[in-house]
Amino acid sequence: MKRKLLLSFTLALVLMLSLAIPVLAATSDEVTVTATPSYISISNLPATFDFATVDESGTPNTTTGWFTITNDSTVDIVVSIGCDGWAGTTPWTYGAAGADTGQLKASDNDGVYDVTVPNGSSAALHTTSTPGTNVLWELQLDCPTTFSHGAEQTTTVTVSAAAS
Amino acid sequence: MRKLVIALLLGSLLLVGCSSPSVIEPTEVEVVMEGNIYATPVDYPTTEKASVGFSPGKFTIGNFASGREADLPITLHNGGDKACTIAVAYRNPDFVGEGYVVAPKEAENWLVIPEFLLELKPKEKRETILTLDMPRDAEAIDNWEFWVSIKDASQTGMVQTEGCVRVFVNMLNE
Repeated sequence: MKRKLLLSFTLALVLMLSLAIPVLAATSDEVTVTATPSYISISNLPATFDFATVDESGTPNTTTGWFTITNDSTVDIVVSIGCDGWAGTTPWTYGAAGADTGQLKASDNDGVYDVTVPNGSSAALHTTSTPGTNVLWELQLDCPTTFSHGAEQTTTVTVSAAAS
Repeated sequence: MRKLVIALLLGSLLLVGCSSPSVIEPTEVEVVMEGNIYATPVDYPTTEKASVGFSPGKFTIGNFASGREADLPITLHNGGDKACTIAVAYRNPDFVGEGYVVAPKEAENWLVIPEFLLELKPKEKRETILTLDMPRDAEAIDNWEFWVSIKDASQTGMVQTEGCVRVFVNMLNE
């Protein structure tokens, strides 16, 4: 009788502990979300530039520092640049200068135009802008080597800001 | 002794009713702010700014795993004098932090965005809560990073601006 009671007690204890231990350990695996205090905001002017009529193999550009990104962020930011390719009745192909193929290049206020503006993605334009420091930049167009038509070309350039 | 055994059995049954140890359910998560610079999840510059902005700029999710979810509250701000439409979307990162890889392709489907377009009145601030919900059968081994694009969809010029929230996801090591 005593042995049966002891066996019952032991089984009950094992059952209770096997259920209790996961409950006690659950808190160390909880999902956590931590937010870094920061406000991100940029604006850009002017909002457009007209390259007007261009020549085959030409490289027309804005003046150095033509565009100004006003940085109203409260933390350091990285600025990237990208575009959505060419649009028009007969759009060029976006890429290195070739037959009916052209692309944009940019730089951050040094007139070097060493950043190829990608189509459908972004490339770094300015690595670190501290709070309140504006970013000046410029654009250059690498014109096609040959034109088969004179249709107007347009594109949308996006400058992006993210906390560094 | 018999009463003790019965009491232990009843206690075990109660614990079974209170927990499901075979499945770890995500609990209500409170967003914690790093540091003590600002008292609320929303911090704004002291001078009113005229542009579209948002806060915070970064989230870090810890102990994430398949079958879990995490809420990401983002406050949007229209600092201008006109109403605007803000577009919120998943975005691949242009670069990643040290120790992180670009999010898996499927991650775009794991981000639940309650409203893709929000119309804000002049000077309005509004919170939108995104949820990262990773399916139970999804896999992600490394810690990964994705971005959330916040863009004034009212822009019409050739050059437009965009802000990005960086989200660092740290996977639970099992």
